[in-house]
Amino acid sequence: MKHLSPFLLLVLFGCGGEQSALSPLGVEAGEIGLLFAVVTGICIAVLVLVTVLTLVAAGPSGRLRDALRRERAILIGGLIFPAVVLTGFLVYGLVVLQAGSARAARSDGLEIAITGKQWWWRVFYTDAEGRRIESANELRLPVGQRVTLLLASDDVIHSFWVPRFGGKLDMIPGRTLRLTLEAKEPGIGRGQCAEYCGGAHAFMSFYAIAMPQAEFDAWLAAEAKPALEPDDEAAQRGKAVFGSSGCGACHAVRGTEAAGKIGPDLTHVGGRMSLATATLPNDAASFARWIRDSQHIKPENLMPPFGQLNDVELADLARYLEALQ
Amino acid sequence: MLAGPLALLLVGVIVAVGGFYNVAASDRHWPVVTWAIEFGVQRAVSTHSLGVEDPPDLGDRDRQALGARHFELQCVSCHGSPAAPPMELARHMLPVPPDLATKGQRWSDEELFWIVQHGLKFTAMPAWSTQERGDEVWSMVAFLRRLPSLDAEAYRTLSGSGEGGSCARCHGAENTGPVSRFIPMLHGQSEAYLVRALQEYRDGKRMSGMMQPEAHGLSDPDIVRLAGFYAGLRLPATTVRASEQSAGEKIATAGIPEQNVPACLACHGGSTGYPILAGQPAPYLESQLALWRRGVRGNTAHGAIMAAIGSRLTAKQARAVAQYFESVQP
Repeated sequence: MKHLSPFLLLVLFGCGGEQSALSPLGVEAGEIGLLFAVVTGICIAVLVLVTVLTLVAAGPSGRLRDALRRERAILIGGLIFPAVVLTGFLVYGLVVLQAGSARAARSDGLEIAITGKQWWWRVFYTDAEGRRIESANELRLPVGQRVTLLLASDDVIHSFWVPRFGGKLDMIPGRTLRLTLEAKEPGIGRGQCAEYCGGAHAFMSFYAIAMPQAEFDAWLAAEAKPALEPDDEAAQRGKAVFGSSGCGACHAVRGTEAAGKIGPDLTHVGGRMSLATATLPNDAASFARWIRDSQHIKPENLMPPFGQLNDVELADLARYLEALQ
Repeated sequence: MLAGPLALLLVGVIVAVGGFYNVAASDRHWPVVTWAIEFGVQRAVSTHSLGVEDPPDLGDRDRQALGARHFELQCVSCHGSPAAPPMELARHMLPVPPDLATKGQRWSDEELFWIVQHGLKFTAMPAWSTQERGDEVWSMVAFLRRLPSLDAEAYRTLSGSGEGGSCARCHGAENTGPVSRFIPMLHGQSEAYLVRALQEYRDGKRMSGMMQPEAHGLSDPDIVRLAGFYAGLRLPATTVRASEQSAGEKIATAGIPEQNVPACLACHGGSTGYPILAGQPAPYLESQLALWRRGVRGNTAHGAIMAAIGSRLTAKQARAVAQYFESVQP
């Protein structure tokens, strides 16, 4: 028995965390969590009941055992009780589901369009003036506001899932599906693509960050601005390397000539929590590693490896990208 | 009962160890051995060439010109040409390198391809420097098919024999461009790229049975000098071919977002270390894009970049974009 405690500890640690549906941050995740708790609780109770009744039935005779043998016991315990409980579950579950789609109709207006690509996320925010602001690989939400996510896909079926905020919804090519999320409090949830979409599917993650409304508005205003000019020499050299290596062919940095639409928007890449869809931390070393060696970090991803850059060029380029806050 | 085979074995051992069979090249084989070897080679080549792909257009003049130039540089010393006999030593080889205008014609196109690509054991016929460039081998076959119809004068014109300078013979120099549309235009090309290309050919990192022998033994200062020479040349006046510009132009300027292909000009526009594509002949660009599609050019740092992108273009798109670049003045 004393050897059980390490396993219990493991279970405890496995239950929480930034990607756990058992630590809800959002209203939807909370409702799903409640549904989970209620159903699990009732199912445990039923299991205990059935076990006890089995033991009674297998045990020595008594009044209870005799009562169990009668037809009435089968009728109540085997037909009426399950029908009532399961119908209750069904109605409860449907209410939770319905609540989602009814909620979508009452959303507060902030719409964020997310397009699943192999193997990253293209994100479009719409600000108060109706301008579309492109970002990638991270989701920011204001607390207390019902946000509608418009989910689509350019290539194959992906699935959007941030366990701390809500359930999964597939991203299907040719359709735009609406998911409503509302964050209850500030915090960070980690999301994951939940539908196999090819080789690097397991690496297709992102961070979803809920921020107080005022902070969110300030962040969105900053995100709408074009890229910051590099202020130190290394970053300026890095900007030249960016231009002469053809990075702008695939990546856009608003405010410069780089206007590629094939890869993630890099205008404010330095301000994100992670790189390479939450597989790398956001620091200069990770930029350099990714640029030179992306195929070893996320095999089959669509960015070519740029092994021709020497260490100095890579460091300068990383400094430039890091400074794109 | 065992005496027979044992005796045979003993005789065999004595003959082998004793070295009685004359392996001198100065002395012919026994007629039966000659017949056996020729028969065996014919059958082996016929069988092994069954897997050879269908030939491209062997009547294409550009293909024949490319084959002719390489023939003059590398093959004439053993096989001779309509304009010159082979070197004296070739007459003393066994087997004697055949006269390709006559005896060479008994092979089929696929068999010729196989022999040129793989060479022949126990002869002085070498294999092609790389097994990855079937396109180059086909240009040799195209020339070999044209050879019987060439007299000395026609041969000299086609092959450039007598013209000096092994680079200029194919790539042109101050006043002329490349002699075939399968040969890239070096005039005004990025010097960094030319240096890199020659080094990669010399070091065996870039595959070409035509360029590898030429680059072999070049020192780094030689390479820098040659690259500087061509980078500084202005393009000769060439006829610009109007072609289906619309599809290729679209790919070159806007890419193909649905196929994750960026715009070619975003990297190849001339302000980077990547080679300039404008003005390059379309068959050359097409053949290089075919190499990217087959994964043949992906083993250098620069090659790995294009290997990812080039493999996303279909053959039809490659042709369109190649024709666009040929029609553009750099």
